[in-house]
Amino acid sequence: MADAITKPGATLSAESSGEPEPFASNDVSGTLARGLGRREQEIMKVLWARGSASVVEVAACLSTALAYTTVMTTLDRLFKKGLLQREKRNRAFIYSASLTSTEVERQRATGLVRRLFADSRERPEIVLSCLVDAVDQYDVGLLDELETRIRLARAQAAEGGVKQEEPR
Amino acid sequence: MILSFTARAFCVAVVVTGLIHLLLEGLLWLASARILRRLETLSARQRERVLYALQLGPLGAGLLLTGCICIPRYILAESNHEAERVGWLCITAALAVMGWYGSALLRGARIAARTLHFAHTCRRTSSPVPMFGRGTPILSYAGNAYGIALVGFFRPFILISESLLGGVGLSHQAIDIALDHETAHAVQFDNWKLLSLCCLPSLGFRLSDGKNWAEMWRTTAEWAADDDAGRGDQARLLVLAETLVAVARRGEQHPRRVCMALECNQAQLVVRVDRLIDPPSNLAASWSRVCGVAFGVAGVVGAALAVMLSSHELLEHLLHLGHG
Repeated sequence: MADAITKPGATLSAESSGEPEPFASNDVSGTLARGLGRREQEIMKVLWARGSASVVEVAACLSTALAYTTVMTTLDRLFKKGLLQREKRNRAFIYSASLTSTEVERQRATGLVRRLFADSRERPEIVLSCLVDAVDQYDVGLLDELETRIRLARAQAAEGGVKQEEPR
Repeated sequence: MILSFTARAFCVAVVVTGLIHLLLEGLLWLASARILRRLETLSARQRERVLYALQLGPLGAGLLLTGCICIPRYILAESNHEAERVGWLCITAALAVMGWYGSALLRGARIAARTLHFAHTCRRTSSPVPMFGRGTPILSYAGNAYGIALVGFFRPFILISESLLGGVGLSHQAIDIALDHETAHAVQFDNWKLLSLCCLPSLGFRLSDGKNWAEMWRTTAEWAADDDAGRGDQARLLVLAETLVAVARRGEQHPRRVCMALECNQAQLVVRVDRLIDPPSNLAASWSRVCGVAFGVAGVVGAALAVMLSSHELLEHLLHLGHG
């Protein structure tokens, strides 16, 4: 009997409802934004072409001969990154891609934009005019203080306007 | 090393350009405190333009004076048009200057390529936002990021996070003013200016407040865009101040790593907000006089350098530096 198809985060147990935990799409896009290694890319291409394959079948399709454990480790890594799903059949895992190549490309692009748009330090070599420099963390107390100053200035401006309108 | 007449002229041109560039950068740095005090009397937009021109000045003056005075005089005065031995020190200096300029150009080219790639990626992954009456296209990005930015050089567009546009995002007025801020950057070609500064070879001298000229320009360009968006209306300026804090706060709700540059960026945010709350006033419209004096002084110094360096004997001496 085939076990449930799993995605990263799900647990394989008799008590499991079989519902996989949804992995954060931002994690996948962030991973893709940093790019896949050459071996990982080749394995993804094999799985896109075949649909699904075991470790042995993937190893047989690679252009360079790799040890079984190396292929297994790479597949496991891709599974943990959320790019693959796997099901257990007869004590062996059968892997398949959880995203099409188009979706991978789109998520890679999305992740790149998010990473470079959201963090000024990640883009020392991109010309960008941002409204506010996006650093990781502004001091909350400082932001509260700034808001207070703005509120006071607004109140003073309103008071000044009211005084001008007061009849003599 | 024996060089042809053309190669000698090129060699001396490179060395003289580099020398003028270095000398003027040094002079600018020495006079920086006085220059910055003068600039405080100008509006942000005037200050931004002067700071940009000051950065281009040393290299521009070097190229202009070399091309228009030094080399023509050398070519006219040089009687020996045959190959001649050139000193190793002169050749080394020429190679150093070419390496310095070349690495700056390469850095600029790399930045331009990455920026174009980023802009292309943004266009593929973002959705257009129809906002009538705006010359600069606006794209919304549906990712976990909170920001607004002007992206690109040739066909710049404004990229804005979808989360800032939605129901719990910024108010209509805040979005409008934030977009005006980015539009001001587009109108002033600030991204092009930024790219040109990336391509500029510079010694990167630090000024009295720890920033270099480029960082100072960047800060001033932001202030100028703030002023353009505010249009002198105190209510708009306060809304913009609130928007800056709101965008910074949204980014704070999704922290990633602590940044060593945090203090500098926080200090800049504080200064920006303070400027918007209490805008500087009574700035004398004397920038033409300031610029006139500044460029006059620079022109006199540069011309004096060029005249000195265009002395044929001096150029010959330069060429034979290191020649036993």
